[in-house]
Amino acid sequence: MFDTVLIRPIINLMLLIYRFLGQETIVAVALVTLLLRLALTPLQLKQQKSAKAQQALRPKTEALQKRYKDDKEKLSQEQMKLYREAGINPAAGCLPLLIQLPLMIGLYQAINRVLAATPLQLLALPSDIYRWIPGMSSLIPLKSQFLWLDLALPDPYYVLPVLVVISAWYYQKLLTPPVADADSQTGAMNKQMQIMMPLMTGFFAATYASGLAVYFLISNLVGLLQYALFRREYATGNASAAPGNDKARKPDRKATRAKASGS
Amino acid sequence: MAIWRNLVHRPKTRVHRTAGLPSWRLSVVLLVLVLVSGCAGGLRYQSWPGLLESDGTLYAASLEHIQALNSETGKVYWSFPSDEEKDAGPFYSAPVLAPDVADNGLLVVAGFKSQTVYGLALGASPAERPDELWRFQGAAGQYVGTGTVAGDLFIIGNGDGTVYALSLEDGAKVWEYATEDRVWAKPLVIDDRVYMASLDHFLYVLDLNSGAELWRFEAEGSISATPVFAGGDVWIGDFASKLYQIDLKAQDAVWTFEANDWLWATPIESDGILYFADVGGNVYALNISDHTMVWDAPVSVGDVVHGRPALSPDGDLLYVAGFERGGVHAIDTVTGNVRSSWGTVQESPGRLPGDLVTDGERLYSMPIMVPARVQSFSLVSGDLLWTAPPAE
Repeated sequence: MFDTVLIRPIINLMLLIYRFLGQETIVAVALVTLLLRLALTPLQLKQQKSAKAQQALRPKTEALQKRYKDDKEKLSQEQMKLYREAGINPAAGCLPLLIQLPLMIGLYQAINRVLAATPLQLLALPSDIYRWIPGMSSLIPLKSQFLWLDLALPDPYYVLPVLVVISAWYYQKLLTPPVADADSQTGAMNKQMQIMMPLMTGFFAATYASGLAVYFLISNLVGLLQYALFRREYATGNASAAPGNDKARKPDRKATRAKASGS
Repeated sequence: MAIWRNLVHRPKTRVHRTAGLPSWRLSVVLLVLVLVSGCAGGLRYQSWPGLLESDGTLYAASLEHIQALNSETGKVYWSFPSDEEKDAGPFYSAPVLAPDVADNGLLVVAGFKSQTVYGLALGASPAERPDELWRFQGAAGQYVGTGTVAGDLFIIGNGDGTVYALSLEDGAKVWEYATEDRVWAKPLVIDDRVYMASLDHFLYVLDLNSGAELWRFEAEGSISATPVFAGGDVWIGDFASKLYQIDLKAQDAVWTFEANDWLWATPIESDGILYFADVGGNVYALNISDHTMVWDAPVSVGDVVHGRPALSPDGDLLYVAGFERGGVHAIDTVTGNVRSSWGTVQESPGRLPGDLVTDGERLYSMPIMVPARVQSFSLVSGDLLWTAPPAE
């Protein structure tokens, strides 16, 4: 089911891009990653919007938590009321991520299958190709050489993994909301995440086929571009800049401008 | 500039206590990484095991070892390398024997991950552990295909796209020839000419002594099968599902047949009949003299096939290995009927990626994803005779 609905369409899209855009595997991998990430942009923005709105309400929810700390049912009712009044669906932040997850896993799997580092991996490919499109089997296996890389093997010089770690670290840093008390449990966890996540991604990039490292890198770069273009939608710091709170947003812009001109 | 500013300067306005990254999101991210890594198989190495039978001894190359076994009992004589040094494996390439080299013959086998060809001087008795005579580490890619011994040379293709000719005496490189893609096929040598297929769609014909290209044939798809010499012509299948009959004088295909699926398995020829199977599990019997099919329709074994089939000594039965279900099927070569009474039903047969091997009495296969590395069946009944290591 997952194969039919997701992985096979992505594999065949990749093959078509490969076929008609110069027969370069790296172009096919990069373009499909880019297309999917761009297609997911509205969902990600929706998710960020929801997270940001919830963040803006946090002082109020914390006040409610204090007030009703001994009555969980009442707390729940009041929180729901608060969200309803603010026009926020607390589950809205979760749903887009749940839609994105299978797509990203499908993309990862498709790249892995198309690159087929070993004959056993390649053997799984015939059943994934749309035979009704003429000439698709003739494309297999895709050309895996690009500069110093064999895209089916790990990067021998670790250039891509290093780039993946740097881009993942920066993306993570931008996405993580600041906390007042850096020594708190939350602060410590955020710090740990900022280090662990890029390192883990870097480890995968260094261990698996470098075509997958290309996927990680493009994903991170698209994420950074999205952040740069739609920063106001991201819940990364200025809690008062909630959607619809224009008064609160203005000082933020001024502060940013002042900082930019001062630097 | 605004975009760049957004990336470089983060707003540092009023900060209040937040929950940071919600724990469910952290869990989801970790789950994705685990799923992604678990499905990729990058850290796990599998193998495409290969077998060679010679004078009552089986030489098996699989996950981390090359082993010598008694063909009759499955008793393991020796393993190379030892358990302490496992860098040689896994093996996709089958062992090859050069009987006239060293005192008792030389076993040559290439490691997939180690990118090394090993020359092992065999002992006086099969039970004697071999000495490593030489190793060749000049290739930049992984070895998938099996090599061929031709005169005093060992010819093998590599994942770096190059065909290497090594001296059997010391493993020194005599010549090399670069193709445009990975070489997974075993070379065929006839009359000082090397016929080597590459995933770049070409079948190259090289001079055995110099490695110089004499001519090449372009197929529609990639070729991983080994060419077969039959009826004075070379026969080869490709990933575009085409079987080509190549006339060596015309240096071109004189007849082409389109199968139902990719042709990966190397064909086998006997008495003018070419048996071949596609990855969709369709088995064909072609009369090479008049291009007629022996059976009314291709025989379906209901499984993926890419190991080379084997024939019984009298040519009555064709044995075909199913990859995903791990079963061996016996097909009557006259009628094309699958002999349902032949074989052993196994609870966990594993998968059968490699070629089937027979010594005239027994049929040998090498499953993967199960504890058994080598299986022996009766050619007549299909009864399982032994497994190595023995089943608990």
